[in-house]
Amino acid sequence: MMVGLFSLVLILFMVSLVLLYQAIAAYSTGKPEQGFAFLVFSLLGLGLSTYVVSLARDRTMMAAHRGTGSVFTLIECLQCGFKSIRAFVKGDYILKQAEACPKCSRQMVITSVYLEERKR
Amino acid sequence: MLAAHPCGNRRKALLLILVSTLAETAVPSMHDLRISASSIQPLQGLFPSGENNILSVIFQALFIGLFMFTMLYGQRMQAWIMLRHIDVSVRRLRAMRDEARRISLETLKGLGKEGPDLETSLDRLLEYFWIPPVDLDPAGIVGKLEHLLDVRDDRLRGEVTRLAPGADASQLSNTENLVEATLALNTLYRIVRHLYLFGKKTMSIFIIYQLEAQLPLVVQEAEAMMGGVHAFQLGQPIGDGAGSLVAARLMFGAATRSVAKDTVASNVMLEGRRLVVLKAEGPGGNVGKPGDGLIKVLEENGGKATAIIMVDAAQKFEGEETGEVSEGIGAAIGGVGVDKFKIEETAKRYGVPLYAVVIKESSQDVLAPMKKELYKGADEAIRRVKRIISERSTVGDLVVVLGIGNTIGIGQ
Repeated sequence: MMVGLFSLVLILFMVSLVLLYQAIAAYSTGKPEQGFAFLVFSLLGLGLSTYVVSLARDRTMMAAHRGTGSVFTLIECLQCGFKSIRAFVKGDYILKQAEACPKCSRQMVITSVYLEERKR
Repeated sequence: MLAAHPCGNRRKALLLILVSTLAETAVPSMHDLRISASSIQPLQGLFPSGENNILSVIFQALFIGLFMFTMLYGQRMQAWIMLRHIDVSVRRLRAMRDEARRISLETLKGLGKEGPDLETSLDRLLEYFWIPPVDLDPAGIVGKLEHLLDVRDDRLRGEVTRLAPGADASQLSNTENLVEATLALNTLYRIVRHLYLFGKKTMSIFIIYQLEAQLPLVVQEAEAMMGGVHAFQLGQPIGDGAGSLVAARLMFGAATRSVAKDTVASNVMLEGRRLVVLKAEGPGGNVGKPGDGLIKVLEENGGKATAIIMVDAAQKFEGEETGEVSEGIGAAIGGVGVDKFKIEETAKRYGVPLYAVVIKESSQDVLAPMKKELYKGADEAIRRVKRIISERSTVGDLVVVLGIGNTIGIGQ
């Protein structure tokens, strides 16, 4: 299928070049209407063939495309329900005892360490 | 799939068309016999006669020449273009491998080891391989597999301990995971590079097609491993730890005891049922030995368990959401199969039903830091586990819950 597509794109490209040549010839021999028609079809053909080639090229990389993100730590007080979110620091882990709760002074616990994705 | 000579018949047909087109331009009167005058004008317009005749003939010849070239050498040109695309991916894989290697070196230096020996030793580790046992006579193969894997793990741990003398138990496990991820990236890069160079050498369109077709998956896999490299370096919980997270939440606050290598268990009461919850020992990057742990727990209790519930991460299909939860039957555990074999064998020996609860995620999420959706999935998995326990057991029964997965960044 790829060979057929490639051949069709190449033929389209060559036909577009032929039409471009015909457009120039028509303009130079005083046939602007004919020249304009050839020019339009030529540009259409060139644009379409370039587009198809670029699509085929990008598809391979798009499948592996992935956004990056930041990791956050959620700390909760299991007594009063107070929650706090901060950037992950090396050494954080789930169910680790964290600092004292600012509301009820009980010890808080890290309940999750999660990634927030950012699309490129 | 592809025919032996895909262009053969097409070439003849195209040659016929070319000959007839040339015949039409050379003998215009033949048009009247086959096609109406109005329909040939656009064609004639492409190749006008008169004062531009010489140029038109040259252009026609050029056109036909290019056409013939495409038909005869089209495949080669396509192979060349595909090799260019593959080259881009090979460079990406190499960049990822080099980055992972740099991170591993940096981590090892930070754990006390310096000197020129460090790089040489790490490069030696990155070329490590293991040979699976022969399966011609499968009887006893699980034992052989287990032995080889234990030797491999002990050897890797010994090497990492020697390279990181300042590391504590958690850091050692995390560094081991880091080196393994780098090793995997190196192996992936070497395989893709081999196929690329082989395809380039032979210009075989079939080898190049197959490689290019698989490249998106390969690069995706490599990017997932790269996410894992960063997570292992920093000790962040990864998607594979979803099962361990469920177990950690169930056993939170209870005393833990060791039941197998890198595996802990806790006794918890839930709605009058006695739960024994097992997971790998965190927060280091361990997977533990849940098979050995289950055997020990059941032997301690005379095999009198009402149910075994396993919780693990599973691959989702395209179109499914990350964090969706499904239930089923069987041993929800990955790996080579040693632990799975032991769990199934033990469940069968004692006649204990085996239930599975899985949290779905993509292959990219497995090694990447855990997403919010997986935490919601873990909450839902806990609700499902509780429902299974209340439906499938009565007050006073023993239920064993196994949380499967790499427990990096997850304590207990």
